[in-house]
Amino acid sequence: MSKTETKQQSPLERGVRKIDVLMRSFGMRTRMFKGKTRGIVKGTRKVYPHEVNATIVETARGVGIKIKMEKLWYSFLKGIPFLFLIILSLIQLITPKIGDNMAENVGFNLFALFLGIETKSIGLLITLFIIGGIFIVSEITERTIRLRYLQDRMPRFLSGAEWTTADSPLLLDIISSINNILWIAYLILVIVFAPFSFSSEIIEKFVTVYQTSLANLLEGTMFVSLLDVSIISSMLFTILLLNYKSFREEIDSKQRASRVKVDYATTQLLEVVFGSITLITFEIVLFSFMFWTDLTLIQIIMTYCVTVSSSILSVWLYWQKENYIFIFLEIWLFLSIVVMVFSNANNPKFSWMIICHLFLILTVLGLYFNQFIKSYLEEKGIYEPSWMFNSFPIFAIIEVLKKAKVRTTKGVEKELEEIRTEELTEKIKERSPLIIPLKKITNKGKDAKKIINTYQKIIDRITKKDVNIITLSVINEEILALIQDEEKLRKKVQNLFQIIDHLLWDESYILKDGSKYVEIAEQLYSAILKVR
Amino acid sequence: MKQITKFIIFSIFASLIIFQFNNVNAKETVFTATEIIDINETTQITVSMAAPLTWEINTGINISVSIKLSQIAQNDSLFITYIKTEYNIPGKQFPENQQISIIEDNLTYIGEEFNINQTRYAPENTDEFNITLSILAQTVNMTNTEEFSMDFPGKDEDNIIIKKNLVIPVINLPGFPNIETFSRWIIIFIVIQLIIMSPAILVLYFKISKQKTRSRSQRKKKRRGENE
Repeated sequence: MSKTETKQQSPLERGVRKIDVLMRSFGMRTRMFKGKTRGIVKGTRKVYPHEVNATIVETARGVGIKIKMEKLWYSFLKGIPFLFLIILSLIQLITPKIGDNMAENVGFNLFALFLGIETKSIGLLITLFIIGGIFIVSEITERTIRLRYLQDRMPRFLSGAEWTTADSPLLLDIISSINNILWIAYLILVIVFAPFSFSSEIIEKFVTVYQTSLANLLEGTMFVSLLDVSIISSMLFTILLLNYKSFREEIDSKQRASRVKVDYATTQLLEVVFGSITLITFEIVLFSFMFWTDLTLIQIIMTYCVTVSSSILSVWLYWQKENYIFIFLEIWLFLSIVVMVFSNANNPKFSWMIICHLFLILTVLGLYFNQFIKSYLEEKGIYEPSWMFNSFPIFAIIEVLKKAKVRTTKGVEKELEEIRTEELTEKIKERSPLIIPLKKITNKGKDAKKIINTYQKIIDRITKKDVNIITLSVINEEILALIQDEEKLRKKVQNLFQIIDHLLWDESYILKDGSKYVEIAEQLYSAILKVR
Repeated sequence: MKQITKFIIFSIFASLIIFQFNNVNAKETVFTATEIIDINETTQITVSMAAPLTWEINTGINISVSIKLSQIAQNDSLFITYIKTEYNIPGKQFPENQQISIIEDNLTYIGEEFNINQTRYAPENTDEFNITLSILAQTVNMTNTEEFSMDFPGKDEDNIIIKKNLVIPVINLPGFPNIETFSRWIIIFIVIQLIIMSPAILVLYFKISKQKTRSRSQRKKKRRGENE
């Protein structure tokens, strides 16, 4: 859009363009519908079906805006994996023998594979509901907060928009990251414990190969899997959370400039440690009902210690270079194999984990490749870290199948700057005291002058300061609040304010039924006199 | 490079420390089983046998047997010809590794004791077993000889466990699991690996499809150029 065009735009068109630019700066795809007095901007979050609907209406005083959240049910899609596990554990609870029957016939026990060998069904069900609920609620909260930011940046009258900083609460980012990493940890645990879900004949052979008992082998496997999960999940969490942080700062360059480097580093570190502790708590609670059924207190303490130290290490690695974290994970997996091989000489309980770690090296390599989705989406103009390490990118797949064209957000910064400078000139106009052109108003109707005079008297009762467009709308709200108890009068006054708006700003307006509104204005004045 | 060497060293130490915690061996103690055996109405002996409950393969294990005369009639004496040990291996019909030690000793007064220390080796091809100790004894008044026996470690105790491979191999790496387990597991592994890698696969798909369209458009351009 060139500058000459923007100058010719009507206020409605300008408002529509502004909300479009804003939505795109939040990483949304937009569609615009323009009418004579009304414009609608629909914003869809790219590769994720979040919809925001902004209706822009031209009024006498300026352009008004209302923002609505649409398709709320999409937030519940985050619960799909939880639903899958809930259904499985419900079936197991109702027919406990189904798993064993399956193992005998098919060779492996589907329920033991996905829910662990010694599942505590009732506890698991409750935990699944609680954790799934937390994720969904946090998703809805994040959307609501985002909406509030849009609305706050666009007050009811567009030209008075305030460009406040958008800082989504840290906790919501943490929970959103936890959702992704929790499922990766779950999938790794399924891989690790899969052989124990096979039929008893196969397990017997499996155990004899390693010349040990099943309980011994399980003990060693559980111990190493605890270490694996705590190290891998805290390291991946660091990458995800710090990506979120840099993403948020990209939105607000002001925020980044105001922060001091050293202070910033420590807060980053503390946030990551706090986040990983929350993550490992979620994991211990959930998986202790599935895979880690006999956790001891010492093991829990050890897990927390490993998590804290590895998250501190990972933040340090991230500061050097993001990919060092993956190199570290590979080294950990390889060296743990070496250590396990030697400690296996006395007690063959690590035998299975040695083989398993060989394959987990491949999994970590896969996780490293997953990072490319972030840079790929950034190429497309989608700045959304929640796609990193997301094991179920259903909506991205749908988007690929639809082959919808994506409007890039690349030019957004420039357009935002343009709007900002445009606004500055308008703001000065708005902040200057209101001068009422009485001559023009008297031309609009017989009683027009009377109405405005009474209105002025009412305003004088409320404030002694100069009045401008913005303060006037605040004063109107205050007046309505004062006469809250008188329902009938309140409705009439709302009509009156609309008429006053037209009288003040609408040049082509002609007043009808003037005497009726004079009456209302006088009623209001007497009501205000009683209170103030 | 410096940083890489730093965290290699760090991870070596960390993993060594972590695995040390988990690797505590219980010390073996010697177990003693005691049984009172009636030879006849007037004669009674107390036999106790002591040996560890965990045997290492290819290592000599010391077992000690003591026979104490606890009751005997006057002017009578007990004559022990030999003691015999046999290994009872679960799942096998007959006892194995019969070993006889000839003693030919007389016990005459109450409280008199006979002690013997012997070395035995653990049987191969089994994880656990128990021992039957038999004593051939006879008093002067008795006309026929008879074998009296007791079980070690006893009917209420667990069997003796054989600890294998403690000395010979430094590394115990039996390798990949059996075919049945591995073939099932590798399918599960591949499926889950694909799920984990799905974002990466998606990017790969994007890139390939983009390249295809690009090469197509290039071909079209080339054709146009040729036509012109």
